[in-house]
Amino acid sequence: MQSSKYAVLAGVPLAYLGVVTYAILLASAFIPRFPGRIIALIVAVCGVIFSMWLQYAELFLIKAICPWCVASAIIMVISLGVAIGRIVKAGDLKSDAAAAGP
Amino acid sequence: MSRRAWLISGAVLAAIIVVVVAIVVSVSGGDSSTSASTPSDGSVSGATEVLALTKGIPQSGFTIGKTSAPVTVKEFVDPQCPVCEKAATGAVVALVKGPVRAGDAKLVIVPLKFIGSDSVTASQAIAAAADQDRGFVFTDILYRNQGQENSGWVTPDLLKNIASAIPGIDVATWEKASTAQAAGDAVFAASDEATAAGVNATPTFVLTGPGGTKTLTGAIPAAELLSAVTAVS
Repeated sequence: MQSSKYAVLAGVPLAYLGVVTYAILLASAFIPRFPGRIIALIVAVCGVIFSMWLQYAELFLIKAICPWCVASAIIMVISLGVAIGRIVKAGDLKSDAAAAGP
Repeated sequence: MSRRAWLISGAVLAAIIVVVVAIVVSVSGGDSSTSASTPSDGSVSGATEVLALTKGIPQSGFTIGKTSAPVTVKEFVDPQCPVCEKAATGAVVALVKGPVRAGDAKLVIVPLKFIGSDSVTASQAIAAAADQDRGFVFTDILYRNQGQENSGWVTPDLLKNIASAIPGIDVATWEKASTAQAAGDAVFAASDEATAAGVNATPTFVLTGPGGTKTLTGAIPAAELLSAVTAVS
């Protein structure tokens, strides 16, 4: 995987993209209210979709498993669950009349 | 639906579109340096260059360099790996021009098949060339004609053109050997060797000499590989 063409996205090594993604995810936890929640959700959605693509590439294109990519995919799915949980708990999906949250 | 719900839906949809487009563009974009094709006149790219690089250096099996050289550099490669191609035209050239030619080191190619079916075909062709002591030269010319991973670029014509471009190869014998059981066995043996050595990425250089052992992975600069040779000498 690390030696494959799938190891880069638009010329940027995935390892760097991963560091940036997790840094934003971590930062979003410290951003209060709705902006923090939506940033976490967007990053987690992007992370999960990309992780799914990597798992597909590993299994069907490269035919080699990258343990780091699998671990990252699991963390991303958990992060998405947490992000959705934060959105739902805060009532962001309720109607304007009902959503009086922060 | 609330204004926030609309905002969330829009943002998520935009995120999905951006990631999918990025993946599609990245995968379909290709790389001009790895999209070489066989010239229609039957010649192959880089053969003259590789033959000049290796001229006068002893070769046996998958090895280039004097068998008595104190340092052994094993390079685990996949013929389809673009990083291996970069190493072949960079650090490996410096290694062959320097310590290998001087008799201080020998380089042993270990072709693997982890990327896909083109890797298997190419590695078997390399094994067949190694039967005639031209494993390194064959591999090196193949890298200079590398195509896109698993695109079917390892064609019988390309392999035959490479074999034909190497003086000393009996093409008919090579052709027969490249599809024989022994070539397949050699590729599986290489995979077993990589597993035993803990190799999980290509290229991986394992250097052994009187000064110890060193392992380097990836498209390392020529200077780093040459320093490692000195360190284990």
